[in-house]
Amino acid sequence: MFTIYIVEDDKAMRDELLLLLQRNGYLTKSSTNFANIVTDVLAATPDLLLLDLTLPTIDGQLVCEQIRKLSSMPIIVVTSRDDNMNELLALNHGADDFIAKPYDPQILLAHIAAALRRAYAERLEAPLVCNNVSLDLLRSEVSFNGKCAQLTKNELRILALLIKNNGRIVSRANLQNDLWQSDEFIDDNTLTVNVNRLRTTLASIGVSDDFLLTRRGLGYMVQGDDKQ
Amino acid sequence: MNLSQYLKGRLPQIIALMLSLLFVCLLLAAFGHNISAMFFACITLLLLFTSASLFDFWRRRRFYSNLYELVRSLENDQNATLITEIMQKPDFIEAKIAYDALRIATKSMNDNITKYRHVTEEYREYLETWVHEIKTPIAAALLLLENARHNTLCDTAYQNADDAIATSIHLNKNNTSIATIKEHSAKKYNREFEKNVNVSAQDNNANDMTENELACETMALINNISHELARIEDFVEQALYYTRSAAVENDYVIRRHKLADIVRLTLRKHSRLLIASQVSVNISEIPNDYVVLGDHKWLSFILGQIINNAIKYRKQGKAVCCLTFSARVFDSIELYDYSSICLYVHDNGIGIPPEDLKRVFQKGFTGTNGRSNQYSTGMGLYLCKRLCEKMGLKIFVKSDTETETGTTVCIVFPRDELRFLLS
Repeated sequence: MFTIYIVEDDKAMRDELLLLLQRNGYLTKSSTNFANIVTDVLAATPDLLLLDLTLPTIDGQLVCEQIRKLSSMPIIVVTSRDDNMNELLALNHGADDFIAKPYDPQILLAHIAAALRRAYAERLEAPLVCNNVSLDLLRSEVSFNGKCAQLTKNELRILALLIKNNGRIVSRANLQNDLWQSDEFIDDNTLTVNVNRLRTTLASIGVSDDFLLTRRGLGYMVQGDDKQ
Repeated sequence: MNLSQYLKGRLPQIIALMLSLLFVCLLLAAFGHNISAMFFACITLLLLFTSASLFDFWRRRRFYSNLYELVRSLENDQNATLITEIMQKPDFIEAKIAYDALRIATKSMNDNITKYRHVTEEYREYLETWVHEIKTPIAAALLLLENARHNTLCDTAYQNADDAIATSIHLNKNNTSIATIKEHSAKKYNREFEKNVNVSAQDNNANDMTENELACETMALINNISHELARIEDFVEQALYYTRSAAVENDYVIRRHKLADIVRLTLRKHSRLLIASQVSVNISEIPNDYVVLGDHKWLSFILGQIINNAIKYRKQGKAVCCLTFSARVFDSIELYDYSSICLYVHDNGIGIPPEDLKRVFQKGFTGTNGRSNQYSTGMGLYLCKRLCEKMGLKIFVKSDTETETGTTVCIVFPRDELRFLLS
């Protein structure tokens, strides 16, 4: 579990961000007082910092610079000031990534995951497991009861997203969007083909048919582990 | 000003001189002087008059021809109203009066220009701040929707779980974790979860169908709202680029970029809208090694506008909207002296009628298609053109409504390294 600290002064924005991140399996921390934000962040020892640049009483660029001096945690700057000057300043002050508001929440999540992957590669090597189906992201392999099969790039991404959302429906649009983020601009039909191929692969290693379910009009889901 | 024009202007004086010469001759004759005295007097007078006139002519000519040249050189200059600051000051009375009049007139004009420039600049600054401010609520709304979408899918998933006991465990677990979440959202979710507990206590299967339908409806609503939000975002973006394109200073940086990367970046940015509109995208025809010069944000905005247009003006009905990106190198074409890379964005939409084709880049032009589509502002392509011009690119549109082949937008990137070095 990764902890993410959110520095954001807009209340609605902060609450929704907290909810979104918690939903996606992150621990979250935030603060409403920005006077000593640098010491607050460092005291909380998060794994990643989401930083807004326009804060009351203190400038976000300054916060970024000071935290970078004392810590090597990934910093993602999220701001509505998306001109070149601010982007350049933020990156020079030690930010790892710069995302302009308004962003697609899925894209934000993808950027967070990428920053965490870069910074804590060793913590992520464990395969994703769900109902004894285990997915090895590095080797692009799925295994079940000792049998294993290779997956294509698209199948891997689809299954990974479904398992991460263990027991929740993932809409077709979200699956498509996730694939688009890795520059696979597939259309609706191709997604169906990819999911069907994934089903065949899963069946070939003995995974039962009701592992990957279709929810008509909503999307796909995998059967969650009951033990959680 | 030449001599004859000058003499024409001084005709009354010349006639007066002639008459006075005649009078002098007559007078001298009346007093009985001989012809040589008359000749001498006439020559002296004529010489004096001519030299005075020549001096006057030279003085005026020097001043007016200087002024004329200055006026000519300032004709297309935006600083023409500053003419009194650089022109030579006249040393004769008529020009002095004219000069003073001109000075007063241009001064009031200059004051006015400065005033309006200030007002525009202030407005532009305000607009830019406003655009940045409005982005926060839009981002918050997007997050709200994402969480709501998640919620709907989550609920339905639990509703459909086979084991009712497992469901209630999930629900209880969620109830406790939800309690830690901020109050306002927690209230809403708790209410929904209470409802869910009640439902799961009853026979789950009986409610499956209706719950599923309800979830579908909610999802459709959420998707529609996100669609509208994307449009708001697009309009806000347009306003921002409009103010930027009008700014005196430029905030763009011309750099080398891989063309395919910029197209991919734009597609990722507009993925939601493209997926929701079920657009089939093909970018395989852009070679990976094509490098163009430009500002990536501006290029991405321009491509975004083109993509939006393709979605807006797609064929209604069953036909899938196809968007094809391709690129070609022209070694030397009539467009530029040097070789260039041309990016084509082709769609299979309704196309543009030939009579509208020439005017699509005009500000506020909506055309036949636009009038039947209430969302047209006539700003998108106009902005594309302006931004392209600022970066030194060319953009044009090809379309044939008769053959129904859709629309192709071409952007021409000259391979002009000099431009890169200069910027």
